[in-house]
Amino acid sequence: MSAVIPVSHLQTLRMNIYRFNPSIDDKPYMQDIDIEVPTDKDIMVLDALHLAKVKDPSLSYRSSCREGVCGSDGMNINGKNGLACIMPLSEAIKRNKLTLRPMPGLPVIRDLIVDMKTFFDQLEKVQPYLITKSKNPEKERVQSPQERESLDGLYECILCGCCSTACPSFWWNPDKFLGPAALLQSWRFIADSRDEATEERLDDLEDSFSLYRCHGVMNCVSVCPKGLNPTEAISNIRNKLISRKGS
Amino acid sequence: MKFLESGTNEFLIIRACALFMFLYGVYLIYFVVSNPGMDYLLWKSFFEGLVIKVFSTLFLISFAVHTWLGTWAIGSDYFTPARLGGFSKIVYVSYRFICFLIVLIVFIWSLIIIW
Repeated sequence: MSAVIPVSHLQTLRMNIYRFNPSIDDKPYMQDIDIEVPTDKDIMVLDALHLAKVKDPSLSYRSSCREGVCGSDGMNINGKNGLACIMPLSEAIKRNKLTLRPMPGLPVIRDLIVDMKTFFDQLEKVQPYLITKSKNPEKERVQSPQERESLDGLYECILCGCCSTACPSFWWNPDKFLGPAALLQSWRFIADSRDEATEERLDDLEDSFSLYRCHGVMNCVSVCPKGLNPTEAISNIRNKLISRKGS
Repeated sequence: MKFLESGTNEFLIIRACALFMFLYGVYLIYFVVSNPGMDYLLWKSFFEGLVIKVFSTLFLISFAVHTWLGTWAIGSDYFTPARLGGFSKIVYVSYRFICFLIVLIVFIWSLIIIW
């Protein structure tokens, strides 16, 4: 990993980073780390983290693709969840300070790394895969272009967890409320013309908590790094649940 | 699934009650605005009609159901083990008891006044 930025104009940026190593720390604390960032070009928050890690190699965070595809580096950047790899410093910095915390609502494993088990447990409940009952066709299950289009804005989710961990209902009932990410995936398969388990999927969402704990706060829409709209997906499922009641 | 364990039923009931209370409120406001020189006698005679008594009772039922379901939703959001740890159960039960008492007192007291 190279942490050298070949530029001549540098300025100091103070990063304020959440630190917690349960094997040595009694409780979490915030650490200031000063780094030199270029003034003549924008870098991403992840680049700044790499620079901070050079100063303090014990700093821990997840990252992989560094281009907003893998969803590894979701974190709370100056109070708002986002992906560090696609968040430019120019957008993130407030008053020449950058405060980084782990995504809220999930247990911290270390520093900016959270335990996402609860998040993936909820995703598992919505069975995020095609369920078919009819006999397999010879080649493939075909879709019209219009049917395929209805999945736009749904299949792009990278499961970074930014939305669910920004949702107060998920903080309060993480074991009962599925959260925006899982519900977006649920709608992705309910809306899929090839899926044949719509009724079963809706039955699973009929209780008071799984879906109906969404209060329309819309933090999920505000923070989604892919620009998706889980609130709309939740609303679509709710409409489907209500309309089948009347039929 | 039982009727009252259905999120869809709760969702519809809460909104139906809210809609009814809204329409009742609009009608009351309309009555007040359309009678500019209204005095106590007119107000009293208005509430003595059988139809308005029935609708006021329906309003009270809507209020009780809406409040009961609404405060349950608020309580089960805020008073959870995730927020309050081991105290959540006692806080939640106390909160529900207080809500029940308030709704019951308001409901019965209002019924006595109306009828």
